[in-house]
Amino acid sequence: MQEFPLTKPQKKLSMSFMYVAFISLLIGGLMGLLQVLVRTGKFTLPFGIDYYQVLTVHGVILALVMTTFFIIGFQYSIMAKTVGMTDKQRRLAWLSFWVMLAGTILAAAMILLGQGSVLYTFYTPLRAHPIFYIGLTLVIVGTWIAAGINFRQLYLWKKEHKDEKSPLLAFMVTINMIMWCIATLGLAASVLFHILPWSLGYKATINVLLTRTLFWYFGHPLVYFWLLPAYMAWYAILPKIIGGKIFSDGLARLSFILFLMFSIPVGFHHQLTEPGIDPLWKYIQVTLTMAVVVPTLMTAFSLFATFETTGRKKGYTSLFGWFKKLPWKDARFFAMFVGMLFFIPGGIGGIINASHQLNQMVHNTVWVTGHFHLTVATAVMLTFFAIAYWLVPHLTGRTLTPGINRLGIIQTITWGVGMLIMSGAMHIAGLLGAPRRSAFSMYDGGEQVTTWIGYQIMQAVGGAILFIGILLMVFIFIRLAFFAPKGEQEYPIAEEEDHAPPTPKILENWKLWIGLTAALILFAYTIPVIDIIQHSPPGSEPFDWPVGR
Amino acid sequence: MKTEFETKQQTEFKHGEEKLPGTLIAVLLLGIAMVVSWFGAYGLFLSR
Amino acid sequence: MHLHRYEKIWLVFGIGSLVLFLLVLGFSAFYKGMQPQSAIEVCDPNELERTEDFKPENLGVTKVDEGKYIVNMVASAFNYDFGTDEDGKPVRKIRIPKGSQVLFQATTKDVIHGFQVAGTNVNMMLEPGFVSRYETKLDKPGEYTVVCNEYCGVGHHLMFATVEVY
Ligand code: HEM
Ligand SMILES: [Cu+2]
Ligand SMILES: [Cu+2]
Repeated sequence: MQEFPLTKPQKKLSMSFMYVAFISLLIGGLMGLLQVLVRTGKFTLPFGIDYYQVLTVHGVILALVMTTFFIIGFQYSIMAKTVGMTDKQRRLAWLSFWVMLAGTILAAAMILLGQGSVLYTFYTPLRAHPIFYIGLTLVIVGTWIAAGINFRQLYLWKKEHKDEKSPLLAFMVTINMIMWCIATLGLAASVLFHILPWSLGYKATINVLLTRTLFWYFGHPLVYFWLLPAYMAWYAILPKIIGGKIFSDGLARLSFILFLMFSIPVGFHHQLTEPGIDPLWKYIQVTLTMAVVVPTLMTAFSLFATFETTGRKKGYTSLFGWFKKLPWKDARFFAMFVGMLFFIPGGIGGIINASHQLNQMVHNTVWVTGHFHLTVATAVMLTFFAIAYWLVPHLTGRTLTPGINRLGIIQTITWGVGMLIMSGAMHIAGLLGAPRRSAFSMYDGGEQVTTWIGYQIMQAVGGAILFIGILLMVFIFIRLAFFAPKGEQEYPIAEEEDHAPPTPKILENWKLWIGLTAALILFAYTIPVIDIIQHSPPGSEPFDWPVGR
Repeated sequence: MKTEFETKQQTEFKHGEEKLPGTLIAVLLLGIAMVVSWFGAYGLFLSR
Repeated sequence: MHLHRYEKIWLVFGIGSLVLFLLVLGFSAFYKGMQPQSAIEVCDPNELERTEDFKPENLGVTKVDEGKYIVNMVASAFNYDFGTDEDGKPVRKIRIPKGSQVLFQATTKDVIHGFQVAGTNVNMMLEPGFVSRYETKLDKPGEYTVVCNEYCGVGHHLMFATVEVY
């Protein structure tokens, strides 16, 4: 397989994204620590800082900024490596970086000034300062530039390699960015046509349910936008690290296509307890949500099969002997593996959340917070850390030393233990009815509340351990970026088996897959959205004072 | 020895059936965990 | 494209389970009527006093029949309004005999709120301009905390009430 060595300027580009990502991780982690401490009831924030301001920073900087910067930077490196990047593309890529950074700074400034305490979901009719929305829009615009560059990169490569299939990783990046573009259209429609004019005062009122629906049209694919880069590493990088081959190129592509098709028409599973949406349409989208589980089932099989075939080739014949042979002492593998492990309860919890009436039991309880700290904050995060262990030194011309590798193992264990405690406590408290997104409160002082507080203390214990994990990770990042010995760190890209069966051509029929995706979206959303618009109540005026403006 | 290994590899691919008993058991355990948890949650829902 | 025989077994098992879940959910939703809250009725959040369900004298618990109750509530930042008691004080706690069938009807005057009777299946989003409704049987005696579980502003964690089932 042809690979393009990354040039110095290309490395610098991807590395800039990494700096922002890891600074964000530190800030976000600190906010997380403050949150768990406040929620014990034994600690109050200094200088009259509001809990929800802290929580807005946490959500925005981790869920939107950290993830997006890491993903775009990582994907640029993948594309440059597998299909190449021209100088012109690289210069444009810098534009995407600066636009995203400018957006981040604008939004951050508004949050810090107390003008944006609307949490990362910014549900109307709570109103933040218009600049908050403009900032977030710029972050999205930056990612669109990135998407355009990525599409162009693959297109140019294809022109040169007419009858070849695209490199697997480049294919995956393209799928992720197509999904992202389609998803962010909903957010853009909501912000540009509704929220922004309304927040500026050009429009007196807003359709609350419509903006929420548009948000969740974007919100679910958002979680797959985080997850797919982790899956890229699981499918196409991990086999190389454990000394094996890609289990099936075709199945890997098929699973990504299924993600593209089914990750968007499912937003109602976040709106199951909402008025104004017909329960039939909710149920239809729940059905589609179950369909998006299928590619994950396929992924689980592929991963185990990768482990097993690799182990067997090394001579392990017993039923689970191959398991022992995995490179447990390699942080690049271990962090990823623990991430996968946490994705098992994370995924199962997700199926429960999406299950129509079961959602009633857990909706907006702290169970949900426990759930996504397993998925995004562990499965995805640990995989990103695993990637960073080789990507950062590759980009800075340094090496992952045995010492830093050991720290990586410790980091992973710290994270796993902390998360087990914090997320476990959140899941239980949630089933007992404890709400999410809440500062400390004794409420009516009832018996139920007392049991919640016990679990909140447990969350603080887990959260404190997690914060140590964050400090460790930032320390590792700094070592790898500035101090590790100079050298060549491998960019591990797995290859196919020599005799692997050919990948069907239809998997690269972009028009077909995008067409089917669009058809599914239109099917799932057209009628309910028309209903929402036609049967809308009087619009809502903006509310500033509840968020302290 | 080496050639023997390689021919074995090739025939395996002809049938496309690598030996994966461990994988099957692992995913089935996973599936059982999924079904048990889900019905656990459903039971809790009904009991409330 | 080749699928390993075991992968076929796995996918049949996995997809079969998902279909089973959907059948159970669909059956309970459409045959047994256990839908998540999905009322489709609009109202004017600024004119709630003029509606039958949400005029001040109709807030709180109303007995409509033997063992049947309606609870009407209007949320606003940061308060649950269940009406007033005989002394004109706001009701903070509502009491319902155990085993009763209760219809909760609620809406909001301003921003989005949540309405969850902790430890039960009563969990609804409240959105301006929409009525939310959920009917349930309260069987287990005890005190239940009602919490707002959708972020509504700086006082979000101070929005609560109590439901006592006796
Ligand atoms: C030190 C590590 C962390 C701690 C202690 C922590 C703690 C928390 C807590 C306690 C909450 C819930 C607060 C509430 O609902 O009132 C929360 C929310 C959240 N966390 Fe974390 N977290 C950590 C790391 C992460 C990471 C790495 C991510 C994602 C990449 C993440 C993403 C989120 C998101 C998206 C929310 C929801 C915010 C919202 O509801 O608006 N967290 N976190
Ligand atoms: Cu979702
Ligand atoms: Cu609230």
